[in-house]
Amino acid sequence: MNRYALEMRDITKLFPGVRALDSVSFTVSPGEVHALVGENGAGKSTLMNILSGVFQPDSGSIIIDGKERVFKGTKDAESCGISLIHQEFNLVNSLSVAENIYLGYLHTHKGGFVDWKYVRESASKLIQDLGFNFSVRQRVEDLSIAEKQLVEIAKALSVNAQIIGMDEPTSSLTQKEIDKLFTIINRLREQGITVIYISHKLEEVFSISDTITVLRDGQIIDTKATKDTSNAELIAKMVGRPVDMNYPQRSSKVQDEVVLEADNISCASYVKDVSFTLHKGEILGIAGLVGSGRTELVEAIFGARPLQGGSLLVHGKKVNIGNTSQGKACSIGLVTEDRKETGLALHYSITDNIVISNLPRVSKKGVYSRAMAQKSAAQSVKDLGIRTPSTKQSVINLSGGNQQKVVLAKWLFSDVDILIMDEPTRGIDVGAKYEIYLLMNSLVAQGKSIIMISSELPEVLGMSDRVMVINKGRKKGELAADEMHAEGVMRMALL
Amino acid sequence: MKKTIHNRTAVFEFVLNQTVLLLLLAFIVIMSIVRTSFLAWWNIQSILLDVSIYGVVACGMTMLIISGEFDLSASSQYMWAQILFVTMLNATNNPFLSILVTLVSGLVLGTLNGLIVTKLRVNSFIATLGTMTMIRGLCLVFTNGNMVSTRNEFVKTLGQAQILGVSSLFYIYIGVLVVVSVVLAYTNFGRRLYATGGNIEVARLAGIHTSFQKTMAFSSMGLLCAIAGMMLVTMLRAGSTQYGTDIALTCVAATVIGGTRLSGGAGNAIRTALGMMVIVVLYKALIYLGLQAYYQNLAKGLVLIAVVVFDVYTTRRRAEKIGR
Amino acid sequence: MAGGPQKLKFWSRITIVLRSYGVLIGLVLIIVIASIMEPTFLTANNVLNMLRQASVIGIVSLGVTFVMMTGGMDLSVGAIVSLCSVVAIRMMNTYGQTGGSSALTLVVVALIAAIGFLIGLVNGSIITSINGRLGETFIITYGMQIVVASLALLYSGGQFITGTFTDGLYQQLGTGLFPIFLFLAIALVMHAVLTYTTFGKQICFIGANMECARMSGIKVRLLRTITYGICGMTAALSAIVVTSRVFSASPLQGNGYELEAIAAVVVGGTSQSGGNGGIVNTIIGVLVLSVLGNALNVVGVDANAQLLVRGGIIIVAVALDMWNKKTAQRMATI
Repeated sequence: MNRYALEMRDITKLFPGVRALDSVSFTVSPGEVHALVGENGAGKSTLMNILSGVFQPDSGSIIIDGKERVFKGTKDAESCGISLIHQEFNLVNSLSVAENIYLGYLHTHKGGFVDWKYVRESASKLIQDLGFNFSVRQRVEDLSIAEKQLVEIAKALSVNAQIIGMDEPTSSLTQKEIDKLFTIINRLREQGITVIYISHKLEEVFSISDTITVLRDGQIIDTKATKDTSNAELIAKMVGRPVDMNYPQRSSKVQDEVVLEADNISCASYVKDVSFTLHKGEILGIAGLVGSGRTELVEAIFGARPLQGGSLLVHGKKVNIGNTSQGKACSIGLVTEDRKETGLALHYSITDNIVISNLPRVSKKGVYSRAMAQKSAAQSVKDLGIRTPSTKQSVINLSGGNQQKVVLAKWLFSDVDILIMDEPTRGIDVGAKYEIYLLMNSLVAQGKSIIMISSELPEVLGMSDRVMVINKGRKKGELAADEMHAEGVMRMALL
Repeated sequence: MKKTIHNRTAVFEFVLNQTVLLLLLAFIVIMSIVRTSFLAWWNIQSILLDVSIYGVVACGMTMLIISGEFDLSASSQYMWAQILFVTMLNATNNPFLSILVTLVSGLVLGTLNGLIVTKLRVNSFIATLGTMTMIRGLCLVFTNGNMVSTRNEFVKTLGQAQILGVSSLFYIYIGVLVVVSVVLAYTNFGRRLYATGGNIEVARLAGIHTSFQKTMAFSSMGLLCAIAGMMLVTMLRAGSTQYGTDIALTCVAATVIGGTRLSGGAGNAIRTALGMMVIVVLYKALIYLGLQAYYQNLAKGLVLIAVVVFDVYTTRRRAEKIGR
Repeated sequence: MAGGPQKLKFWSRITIVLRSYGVLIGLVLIIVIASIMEPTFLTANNVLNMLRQASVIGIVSLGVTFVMMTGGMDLSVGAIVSLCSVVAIRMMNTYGQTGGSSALTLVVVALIAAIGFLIGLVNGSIITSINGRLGETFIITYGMQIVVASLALLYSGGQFITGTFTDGLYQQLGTGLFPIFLFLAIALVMHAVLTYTTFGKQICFIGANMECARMSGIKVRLLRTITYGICGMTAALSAIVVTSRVFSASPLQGNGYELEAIAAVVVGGTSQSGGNGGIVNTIIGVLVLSVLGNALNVVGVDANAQLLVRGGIIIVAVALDMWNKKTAQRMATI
């Protein structure tokens, strides 16, 4: 069988302000595990969304099993045997596993009534075929992340998917769970099902895939058989420039003064007994898997979550941070993970989004002055290199990188000493990323301190002075500059 | 390890689910101790009657809440059904035609609500606030605030009929309850309502026509309001804009007390029925305790607030326990 | 898709014009038609009367605007008006028999305003303590409506209270141009607060994106609670005006006020999603509904039939608003 299971030709996709995919072409043979690698923002998810019918390409064609297809929605893609397992699960939490697998189209008796017995038994069988054994009557919201992922795979199999895409499937799994997942993928391969495996975790890619395609900035760089390539070659292709030039050099040094000290802090079931210190002029990186509790940790420090145990000391003084206003008063700021949801008021202007953190600064005797605000915003725009025709522009029109800069500008405007950044360069193109790194460096040079959460290992290692690894809510370890290397961090994060 | 956590959650779940039942039993027990006549047959009949009529509307409200919407116009639709039914009876003296016309009117009004919410994209609160005002206006124009009554014999017989000593209206309610429960649990349409309310994006991606689902839920509500209005007329042989001004929010409260989340995606009609019983028993108890009307209302208001706070609190605690 | 974006722009421009000025255009049309049909419509007497009436609901609507701008709602304002009405008149009756003391009036007004503020704070505290979304807010304020309405009935024994006091100042508060002045004064103050103070700007931001406001260090819970307090206070002030006008108080005084106020806010263009619209919008909304009501009255349309019109207008106004937002968003992403 010489035909390709899937061929994508010259796929181009434009979003406002950014060319997500540029004439992407690649082929996948039937029954192979084909990995799609690339940095964040390279276009992997967009490509998969087009394949599964969520988006329509602006130009180009999709050919399945030799026939060209047009997908107007996910149902079309599904009927051609394509199923995509997203990073954020497409499950209805309040419903059972069985019902989620057959969502909307439950098998019925002749009279039209749902045949629950059949539904449950089929669902159970699917789960068991994948090597697991848990009740399909449970509500999805009660499952672990690994189990939810399994339900998604079962969903794909229930519609007899011939091509299954998995978008960053292992971001929240333990090593044991990852091994089980790989067993399943191997089983799928044996059944002749094609798997497209999207990941930026190269070790996994090497252990599971047959072929690797590299994407960078919306373009296909190369496709190679896994056995014919190496880690170094992949990284070079993913990054496009020699690895050490990726992160700007730092001129300033970490000072001795401790600005923030956390003693055995806990937060509900998310964070347990974490202690660490932050020095002046330092970038402390926090590594760990998605869902390990890093975000909850920093939210608790900032006051967005209640701190349930332990204590915090800012500049040596014990503080009680019960809400975000108090966090800000302690000179702590948080650049959130999701800038569109919680970092910006999308329909507000750049000015309004920046000055909101320090309104008294743009008020004369208590009266807000729009002129002062515009002036200050213009200064921020200049200082951070935000590309926009005017500060009155709505932030929704800005690119991801510029949006992130506005969020940064907001915190700089209120002059915080301690800036926490949660996944600061997620979804930002490479050029803007570098600019943000430069900004971070200049901030610490001025004596500020940064706590940076990142799921991108190279970024954590490249930008931090020290790295703290969080695993299932606990601090697994801390690595100093000379101890920092990828394997060490990964091991702590996963085991 | 995982299994025990699940089992414990299952038991906790079970107990929480039965809270409504326990609450109900507790009320009844306390009241019958305080006033033994509380358990008198005629009082039970009275309770069942109230539960039956309001319960029909509550079934519709449950469907809507499951799909993620609200309907404030239920009160007005209920009034309108009464008035239309009586007017038709007086005009044609044909009960079956009158029933048909009233049912159709309910369907039409309900569908209108549904279309405004799904096609015009108006928030269901405001939309149904608007339609509530309009339909109320319609009622007032028709009756000028007066009561309208009928002498129709069929209606009189139906209203007074009893099977096994319990009013026929109760059996109508049971019928409605069974139908709604079956639809919710055993039809794809019903299950799609849950999906729509549980996560509308996921439902859409799965190919469910969420607009259709919601509109149908509103239509069903309209139909049920019509049925409830007619039931009241058989009981009183009259209709008025005075009856049922609080029915919409009472039904929402019953749904919430019954354990259905306001956010949608879960719940069922039987639970709501239990919730409605709790409310009616509570109200009757207040009357029995000799509380003046004003104090009763005060209590009703406080209960409503307490119910919502409790609902949010328990939902949030569950979420925290599982870890989001 | 060459023809696409341009065509869209043209229609969107029309829509935006229609929506922004459509309500005003409608207002003018109503005035014109009504004055043609009924010449007494435009007499000074009728206009003043209409504006005075409008001011009563208008004052309440201003407070409701504040609440709705943060994405909330308050169904209890009508009941607050009722309660404050009976308390105010009873107090004036009890202490105002000596005649001529303006101090009593001032004390009573301050007290009533405080009561309204406190009830509002209770609303706000409950809602913010459970971080309520719209559904819960609705039911909670409805519950409060029942509670406060019952309190009004209990306090007055279900009886209508006629004013028997002789203090002059109180009676002036509801007559002449005072109600209109009060309405405009409160509107001015609120507008200034929203546009020029830190508090106001933060309130607007909360409406725009509540979670973002919280994550930017804004005291969301406190501010939201205060908006409900302010809403209660405006309802109380409205009660003063209305009881002064009719020189009596009914425990059912405010029945239906909440619906009228919400209608005015919504028709004016302040949307449910918060952050959009504002005081000026509400003033327009109040005017439109009042003028419409008065015009329909003058022309002889039944009070009951007016409900039909009112309900319809709410729906149409909001639908237009939603449509406008959608096209505005589409335009923004091109």
